[in-house]
Amino acid sequence: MTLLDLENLHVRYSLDGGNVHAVDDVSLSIDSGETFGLVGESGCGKTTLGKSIIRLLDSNGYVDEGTIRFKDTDLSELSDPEIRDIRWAEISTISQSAMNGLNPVYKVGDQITEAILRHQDVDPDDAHERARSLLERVGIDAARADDYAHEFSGGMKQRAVIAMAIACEPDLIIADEPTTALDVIVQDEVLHELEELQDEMGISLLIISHDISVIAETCDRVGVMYGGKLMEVGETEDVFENPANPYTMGLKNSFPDIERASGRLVSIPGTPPTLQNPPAGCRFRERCPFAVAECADAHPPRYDVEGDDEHESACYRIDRLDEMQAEAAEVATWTQ
Amino acid sequence: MDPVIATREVVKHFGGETGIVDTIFQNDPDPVRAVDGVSLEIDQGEILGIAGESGCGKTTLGKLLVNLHDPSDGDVAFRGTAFSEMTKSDWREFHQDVQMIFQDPFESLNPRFTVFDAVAEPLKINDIGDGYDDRRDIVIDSLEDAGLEPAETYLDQFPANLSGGEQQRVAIARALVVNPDVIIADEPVSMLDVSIRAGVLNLMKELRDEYDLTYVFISHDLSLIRYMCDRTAIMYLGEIVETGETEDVITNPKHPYTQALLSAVPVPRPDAGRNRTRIEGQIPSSRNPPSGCHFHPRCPDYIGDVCEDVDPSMREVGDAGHCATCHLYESDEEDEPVPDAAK
Repeated sequence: MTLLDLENLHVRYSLDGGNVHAVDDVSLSIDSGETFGLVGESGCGKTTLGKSIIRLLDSNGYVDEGTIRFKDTDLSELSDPEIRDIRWAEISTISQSAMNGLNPVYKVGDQITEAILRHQDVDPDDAHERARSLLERVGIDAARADDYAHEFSGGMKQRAVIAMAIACEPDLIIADEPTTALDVIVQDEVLHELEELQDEMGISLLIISHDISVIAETCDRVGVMYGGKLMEVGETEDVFENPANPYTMGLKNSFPDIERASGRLVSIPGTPPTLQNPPAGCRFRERCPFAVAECADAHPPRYDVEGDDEHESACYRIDRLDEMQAEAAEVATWTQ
Repeated sequence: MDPVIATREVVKHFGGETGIVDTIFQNDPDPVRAVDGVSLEIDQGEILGIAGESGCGKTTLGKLLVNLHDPSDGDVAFRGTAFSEMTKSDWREFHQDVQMIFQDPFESLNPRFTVFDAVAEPLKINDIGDGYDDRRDIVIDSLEDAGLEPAETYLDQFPANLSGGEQQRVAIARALVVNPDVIIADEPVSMLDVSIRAGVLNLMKELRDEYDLTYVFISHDLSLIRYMCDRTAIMYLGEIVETGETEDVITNPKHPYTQALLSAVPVPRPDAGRNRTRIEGQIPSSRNPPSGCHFHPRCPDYIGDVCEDVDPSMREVGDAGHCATCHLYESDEEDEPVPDAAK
């Protein structure tokens, strides 16, 4: 069942010298109980997309067009108080700087209690008891509920933030770079914790990350963003094993794999476009080794990838996918 | 031939001095043991990786190698001469031969210096080149080596106008401009986007081949270490726990900590089922590291009192100088402990 459905979403930031089109005509949907990964480089619009869902954009950011359907409601039409009721209770967030988001002068347990009391009609003592059991649930001794954030290690802070995110049993958690600030061993634990919670509680997860290995290991489906556009979307295995967009192919070539003594890593030539005055045509055209004249006309729509279910790629040359995949594996393709 | 840089039981402690407040309250603060007895040798032309989690002391070790920190104990030697015995002209040679690349190029480049100013500065300091025109030629060569072409168009740019990848290339050009032998690179690509990163890494490898450069490559990312380094040293709480040829260390890790660390690295393939070695607890404070083997409270292969009581020496655990500090390998009598770590 579809839980969240974004349709033709456009998000802009207004600046003095014009505006930045950070999310440009993105449509995607997330099912109940699913983990969806959004991957892309800095400035591709992935964080903006996550924030726009529950209206946490900076003050100059706004949803320009499109619908954000969550269950049966269009979130973009709700008033601010109505959105506030949905935040935490139905959609919660774990942000990149969540570790620093804990209030330093409140006890950790009290902060979780407060989140529960704000959204649910329960007795304060019960709420406090629940906060303690939530901490236990994410692997923190309940006695630490009376500690302050600075007494926690980085991994514990992130666990406490996860405890807070699941406190009101939401349907969807938006996790933006949930483990980027953590060391690998702790990252592994936290990701494992998230997976377990999700299995147990049936929560949907939107994981936003630049790290394609984190996405590959945790997500059921994945969307690849570039320059504000969703370039490719599909089941994780399809997207990684049978990439159908030249950008995804390039990204895979440039990412090292600890288990493989790979040949040469190959970077994508050029730099990502600025979103203030994005070039006409396909966003990736200027860096794409397969670009043809047609690519300059307009950004391509998403086409179905033959043979895969619900695997789509925004590329005009999708009919020549086999050739592109073969050529993309050659270093020379990217270095000319 | 002498190694280019060698450390012998080098130690760096921070703090631990007692001030007046401590005297009044009778505090006896423990120092932070950032680097706690590290011996290693770096040979000409090799890429040595130093890996570990945050707080393990890898950055401090890098700074000790370029004399940005004074060691608290032990010594560092450059081409066989200990820092403590180097003369003024030795130091002049050292400052030219050993360069450093930092993590964040935007922070390490002066925002008011143009690319030319930034790259020419080491020439002025080392008194290389004869006048503006000569230096301009040297700077242009160096920018081209760093893959910034056409170099002339970059000369008058300010760092803020360059992308992250270009900024890091300017930092590399600045390190290269004095023809160094050794470059210490501390997380040189961790601020860069994935699609840009590979270009900088490949550039560093090509420059090594072209100029027989020696690198110390410090990183938390073991996938990058495997891609870049000939030899690797794994650090934990200020000590090297395992060292050897990178392929040996990554594919056949011997120290339980290295095994745990490697098993936690995610791989960019959805079908890869990893065998995870999970370890408990957190990294203890380096003010007060555990007795014996620093890793024993978290070790899944704990074998008894010896782990708590005896600080394991570095011993050979495999081929080609593959060494680790772990009591697991002591019982085998053929494995004589080797006194010098990281041989």
